[in-house]
Amino acid sequence: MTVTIVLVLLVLLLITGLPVALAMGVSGAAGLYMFGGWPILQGILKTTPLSTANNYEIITIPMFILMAEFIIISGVANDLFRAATVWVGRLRGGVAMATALAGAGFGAISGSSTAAAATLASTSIPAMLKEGYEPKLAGGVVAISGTLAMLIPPSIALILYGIIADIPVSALLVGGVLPGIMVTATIMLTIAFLVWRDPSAAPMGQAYSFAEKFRSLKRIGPVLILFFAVTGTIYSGIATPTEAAGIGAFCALLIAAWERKLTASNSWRALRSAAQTTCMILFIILGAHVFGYFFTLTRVTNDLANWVGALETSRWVILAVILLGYLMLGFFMDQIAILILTVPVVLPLIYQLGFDPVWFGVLIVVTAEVGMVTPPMGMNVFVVARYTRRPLGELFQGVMPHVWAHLIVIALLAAFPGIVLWLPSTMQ
Amino acid sequence: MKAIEENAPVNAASAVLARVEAVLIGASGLAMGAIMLIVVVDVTLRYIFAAPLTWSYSLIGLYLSGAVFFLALSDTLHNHGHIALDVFVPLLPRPVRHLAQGLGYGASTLFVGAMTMLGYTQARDAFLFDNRVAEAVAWPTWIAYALLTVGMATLCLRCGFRTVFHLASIFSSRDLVELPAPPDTKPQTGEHGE
Repeated sequence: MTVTIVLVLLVLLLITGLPVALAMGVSGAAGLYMFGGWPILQGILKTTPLSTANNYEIITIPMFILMAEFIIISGVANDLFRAATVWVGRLRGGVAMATALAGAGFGAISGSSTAAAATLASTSIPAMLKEGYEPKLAGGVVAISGTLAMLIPPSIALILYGIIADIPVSALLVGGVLPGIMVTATIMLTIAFLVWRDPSAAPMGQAYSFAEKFRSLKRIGPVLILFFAVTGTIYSGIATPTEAAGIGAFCALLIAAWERKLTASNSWRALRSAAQTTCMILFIILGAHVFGYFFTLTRVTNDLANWVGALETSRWVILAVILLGYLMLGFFMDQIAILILTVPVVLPLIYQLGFDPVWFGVLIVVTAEVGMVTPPMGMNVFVVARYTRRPLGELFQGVMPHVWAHLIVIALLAAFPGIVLWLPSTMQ
Repeated sequence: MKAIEENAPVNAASAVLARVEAVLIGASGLAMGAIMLIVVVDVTLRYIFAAPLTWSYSLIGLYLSGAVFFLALSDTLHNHGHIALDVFVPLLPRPVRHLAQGLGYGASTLFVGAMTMLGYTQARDAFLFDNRVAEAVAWPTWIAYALLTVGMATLCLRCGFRTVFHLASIFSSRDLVELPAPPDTKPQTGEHGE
């Protein structure tokens, strides 16, 4: 009965617009009070805030966020799109394909999906519309390309999953590399298919000489350095993810300074924005911890795991149901909140079903990406709409072919765990 | 993650609170910058000179990461930076929305208030008994609890402010509390992103 009351309270607080962190904290605290009174609640509220924040490993998140902030200030992210256009822009739909490549490049230096969508929207959409691309196609490809940042390291979502699930963040980050490349290729193939079916949607682009192609790489040199400074050092075992994040943020600061964009006001904005985003994530973790204690004390997670374990159904059917649940949650909730809220409950099931937690982490992040571009809460589509002033319906329509293609990728990753697990298995 | 918008205070009480929040978020940003610099210096000393900083883990883990988090709490709430499920909110009638949020923030004030009170008692006890961590540098623990208390107390005041003014908005024709800006997604004639 107490569990039902607490779940109803949580849903009510969420749908009336209370921040997710407070909704989870308040409902969890109410449940703990009903379960064991003030002594139990007091014990948990005494320790949870400090144990959430005072953790050396958790600084990986703010450092990667700060790195992205400095890179956005430096303006080199915009050069990614220009360089990619020089390489693939000649093809029909090539500028759209360049957007996907730029999205992957931005993902390699930032873990924020909406920041990627905003940067791509400001550079690639004007270029595509100027060349006569169908606005629906242009908006759709920008929205979906932004989601690559959630998957390609450094991915905030994967780091968060690692911290919650207590599995190595380095294995998760490296595990996201091949699926990231696969999703990028899928976006490009989808564009090729769309323009093959309707050539009027995108014109042929301008051709560039080899000299121009190699010259374009000079501008993206800092991004490559940063990518190897972060992912390269993690993969080779030279640095821990925490150290790599700190070094990455500092390198990004140096890049911004080199580009002469590191003014006092820009630096202050970057620090403040990174502090607010970090605070938002940690506060949800705090609320989820309080809520999680309630679930643990009332044995909800154990009972659920035992119940599912006793089902005489194929474990793949259960996995499909779980992934469908993540897709549906993605329609309404932020991806970070979904991870923090669900992973502590779902992960014991995954262990019980005999699945690999690293593979499952990458799989649910790819699944959660879909929620970034589907109505009614597709944040990336909102960002693109804000930049393009195009109707939301048109943009959601434009992104739908990519959603279907994404579902095929999810099925492939589920069917062949080696795509995710091979690279981490070669780590030093 | 969504971009965090600036939010102008709606009345004098909110403006006073916003000034306190501005000071605290400033300290939070400085702590963020300090973490970055300490990690870089530590890694450089470790790998180049084989002489890492002995105090970096505890300084960052005990004080700086807490400062980043706790001191940014209230400013982030004020600027609608904490994620909320706002898809159903516009569907609620205005008085119901203010009533529900007033009650929600009221419960949040109690929740955050409890953490503030517990943080204060722990800071006071740690100070009186001179509690320190058992590491190479024996940092005092009361500072960590004090950061928690200051951040949570400001957040408690912001939640209390929202409780009072959401409830007051039910009886007023205008909104007496800062609301998040609706997404700017309406199509505008003649603008095609060119």
